[in-house]
Amino acid sequence: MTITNTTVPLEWFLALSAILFGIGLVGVLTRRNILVIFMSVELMMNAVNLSLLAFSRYLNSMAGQAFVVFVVTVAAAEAAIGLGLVIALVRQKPTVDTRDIEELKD
Amino acid sequence: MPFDLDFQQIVFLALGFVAVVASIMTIIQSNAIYSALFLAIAFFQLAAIYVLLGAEFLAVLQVLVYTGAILVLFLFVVMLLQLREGPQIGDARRWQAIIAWPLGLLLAGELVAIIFSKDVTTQMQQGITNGAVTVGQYTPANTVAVGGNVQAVGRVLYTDYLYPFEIASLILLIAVVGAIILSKQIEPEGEERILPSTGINIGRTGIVGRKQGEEFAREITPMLEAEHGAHAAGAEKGGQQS
Amino acid sequence: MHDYIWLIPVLPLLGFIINGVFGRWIPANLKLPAAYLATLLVGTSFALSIATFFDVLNGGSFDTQGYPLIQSGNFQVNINFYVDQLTAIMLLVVTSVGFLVHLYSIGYMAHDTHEHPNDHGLLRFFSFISLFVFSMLMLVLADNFVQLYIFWEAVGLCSYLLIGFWYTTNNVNREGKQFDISPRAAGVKAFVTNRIGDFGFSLGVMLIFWNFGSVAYSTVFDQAASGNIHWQFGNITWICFLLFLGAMGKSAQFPLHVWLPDAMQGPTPVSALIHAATMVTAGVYLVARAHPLFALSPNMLVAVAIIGTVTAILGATIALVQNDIKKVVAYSTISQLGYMFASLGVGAIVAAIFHLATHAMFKGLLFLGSGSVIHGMQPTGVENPQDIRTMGGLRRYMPVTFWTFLLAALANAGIVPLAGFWSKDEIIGAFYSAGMDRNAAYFVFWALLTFTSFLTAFYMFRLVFLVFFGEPRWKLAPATAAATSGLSVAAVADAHSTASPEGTHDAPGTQGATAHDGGHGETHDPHESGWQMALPLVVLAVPTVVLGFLIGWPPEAGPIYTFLSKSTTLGVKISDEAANGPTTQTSILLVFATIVAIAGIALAYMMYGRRSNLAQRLGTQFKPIYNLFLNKWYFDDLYQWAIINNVRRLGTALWWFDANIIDGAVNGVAGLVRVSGGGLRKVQTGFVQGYALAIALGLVVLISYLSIIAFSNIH
Repeated sequence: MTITNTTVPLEWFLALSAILFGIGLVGVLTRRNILVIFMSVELMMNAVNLSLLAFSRYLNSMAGQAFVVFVVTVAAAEAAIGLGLVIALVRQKPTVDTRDIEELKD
Repeated sequence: MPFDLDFQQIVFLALGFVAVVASIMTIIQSNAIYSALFLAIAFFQLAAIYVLLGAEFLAVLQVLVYTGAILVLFLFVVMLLQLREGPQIGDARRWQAIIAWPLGLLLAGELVAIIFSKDVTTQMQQGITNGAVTVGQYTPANTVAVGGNVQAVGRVLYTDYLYPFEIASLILLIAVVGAIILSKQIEPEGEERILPSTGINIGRTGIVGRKQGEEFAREITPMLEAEHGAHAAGAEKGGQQS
Repeated sequence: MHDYIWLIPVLPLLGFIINGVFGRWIPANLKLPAAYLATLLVGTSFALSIATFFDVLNGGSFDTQGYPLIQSGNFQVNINFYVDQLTAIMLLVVTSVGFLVHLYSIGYMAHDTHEHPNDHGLLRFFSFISLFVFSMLMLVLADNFVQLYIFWEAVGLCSYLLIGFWYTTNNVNREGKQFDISPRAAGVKAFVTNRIGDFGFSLGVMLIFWNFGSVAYSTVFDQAASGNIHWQFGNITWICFLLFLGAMGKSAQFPLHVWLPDAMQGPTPVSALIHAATMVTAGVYLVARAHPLFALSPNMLVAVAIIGTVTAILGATIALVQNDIKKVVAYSTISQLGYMFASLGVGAIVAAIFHLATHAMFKGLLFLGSGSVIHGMQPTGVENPQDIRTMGGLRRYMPVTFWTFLLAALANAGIVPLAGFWSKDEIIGAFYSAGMDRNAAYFVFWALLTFTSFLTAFYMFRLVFLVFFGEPRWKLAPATAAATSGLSVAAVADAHSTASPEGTHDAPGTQGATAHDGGHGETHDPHESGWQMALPLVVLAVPTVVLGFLIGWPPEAGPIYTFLSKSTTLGVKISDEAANGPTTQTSILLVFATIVAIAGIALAYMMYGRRSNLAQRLGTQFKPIYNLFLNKWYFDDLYQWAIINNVRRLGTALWWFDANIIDGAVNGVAGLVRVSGGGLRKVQTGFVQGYALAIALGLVVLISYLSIIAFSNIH
């Protein structure tokens, strides 16, 4: 088993990461469905993961990969809790539209 | 020369293009199920890119956890709730979308511009040379020497990052408990209460929040007007405040 | 050996705590015992003071450690108990008069009708007066200026509380006529006037610390004596002036004397204890205590002498024409305090302390006697039981009061061999000697003070004759009494004796029968006071008679000289010729003083003792002077016009400023917040993505800013 140096420049990975992050952000800001917002957040986290792994590769360090493991862990936990919250919310009020969830105002 | 690409680069560009397109489709699909499926495509592309980066363990993790567990959970919830998003256009929050799209693109553009114009690779090399950036020991050769990427990640996780690793496991445990508690149907204690003076049912929880207060005020106002006339306004005020 | 010293002040404090703190839980039938307990505690202090006196009788002084109060760098203040000869005398004066006044107050205040919800009149009175005794003892026991100052303020506070003791009383009598100043206002007046002096005093203490680096007597006096003072700011005259300012306020010296007469609105035992015997002498004590400083400033000493003399003659002239029994005694007190300060100013410290001690006795007695008279006059139902125009002939009704009052009046007038004669003569003699030895200008002081002593004898016996001799006038219609004023009292007596001749020589027992048509419903004859009030009168009469001769003979070399010469700070020396008995000069002066005093009494007898209209004629003839005296030299009016009105104007202006500018700013800020809050409230939509947008916006702006900086650095 051999692992060769990648010929793709670091900048490309980072650029892809930035683009995905931006798309995720737009999703968070524009979507009404709270579930889709959640998905956009996951996308943003993946974009960050990509950066971490790219640097990990180019610096010959496993720290970045360890970080990504933690991020994945936290993302799983977050998804479990977040979806639990959504279910609890829908029970109170049958909607996932953020426009209807404005109780913070009061 | 822009078109002088080797195999890895071509693969990367292909994966990246599909990932970007899938991501965009994720956020513009009005159906949440399609969104989730497009997101799965994007995650698969990312997994492949991870392999390109020599992070095979994370690539597997990406497929198993993100695509296999999290996204399936999303799909499950979406289907469970069976709710659809309303139309996006003509909505009261339209200005939000009008600001958000240019903002997101600006952010991405700015980041890309910075990344390319500052020449990250060169700066990193400079940092390595003058000691500002530390280079790890896991060169591709060393990774092979310890047995591969999975062994390398395991070594780091169980030595340098042992405590964070344990804490992460604790977080998962708490998340499991929390998810169960949140999803469990909790009945409010006690019986439904009825205001003795008016006979209005205020439920098990009483009047909570502004909307319930307004509803209560709407219900009670005619009664009070019938009884006391002028006192109605004050009572409505009181209802809102409670 | 001196471990008990702390008990002397603490016992009255205990009395204060019992009566003041636990007073509300003391049942009604135990209130009188509680008052007796407070009296007993002060009595024990008196006994301990006697023991202390004998400790320092043969010289020496001691300083018992209390506890550190302030320790901040080299600013060290301890609460200590310092006893030297001067302190010992003050302790005796304070505790003895304090004890007798406590006892007297039981009788005087027992029937106090001042009832108020949640107000335990009797116990409140005893708690205040015990607190005063405590504070005064701590004042004289201080071994540093800060402790002195703290308790200087504390006695001022007690004075304020006790002047305003009858705080519900208004200065409007039963007919709705405004007659004087209300106790509340009098208390405030006393406090504010004292504040002027105390402010000076506090500045003085600061200057002392600044320049001497310490506030302890020993350090300060040692440095002052060595003359090795590193002057940082100010000089010795400033320090002495500021300290004397405090003394002026507390001891009611011109021009800060105006509060003392109004302080008579308080209960009479208070006037006796605080405003005659003890607190007002704190100023004298202060100047005597700080003598090592004053000795370095001859100019200030002259100023002290001038102020003292002016005060003496001012008080005496006003006392000539007052119609309120307590006012007369109060102005007499001011006058006598002026004597003490004059004495301090000429360097005759012992004479000042001597006069302080004898004055405490006879002036305390005069006040207690006045209180007894007022107390006795109350049953007659006169409009104002303190007005001497409605008295007369009281000697038949109140024999004990009369005789003791007479003795005190004689002592105050300076009749040989009573106490006041010896001490006052020492003061006048000191000025004569100063005139002979130092500067002929001192003869002016001597002449003024001698003339004042003539006035003293006159006004004291005006009081005696009007109160105790002549015909009873309390049965006169109040309108008649009110219409007459001032010196025309004799005329009132005339009118009365012609209007109701049957009352002239009635026996006391039958007098009451004819007194029922007085216009006030029930009226009775005056009566003698109970034993609690009579006993202190009799007890005080003893030192009034003998104290002067006992410790003042031979003149300028008596036991008090021997005793105080052992004090290290006073610098008292007994001249050899004085030690050998009275010199010719002294003897002549003694005789002369006696003649002057007798002349004063004789004049008083001619004007008031027998039926004549001499007083009225004089009053008409010297109308401007009479009015000047009656209106207290217009000092109150002057202050009203020059200071109080302006301060009030300033206060009104500041109030306007506060109400419009300050409050306007406050309300304006509040309004601004409300308006802006109302506007910003719209931002708070509760729409989470809106918040996220704001965050993203911030992020983009931040990144843009950083990238702009980064790019501009490259190029």
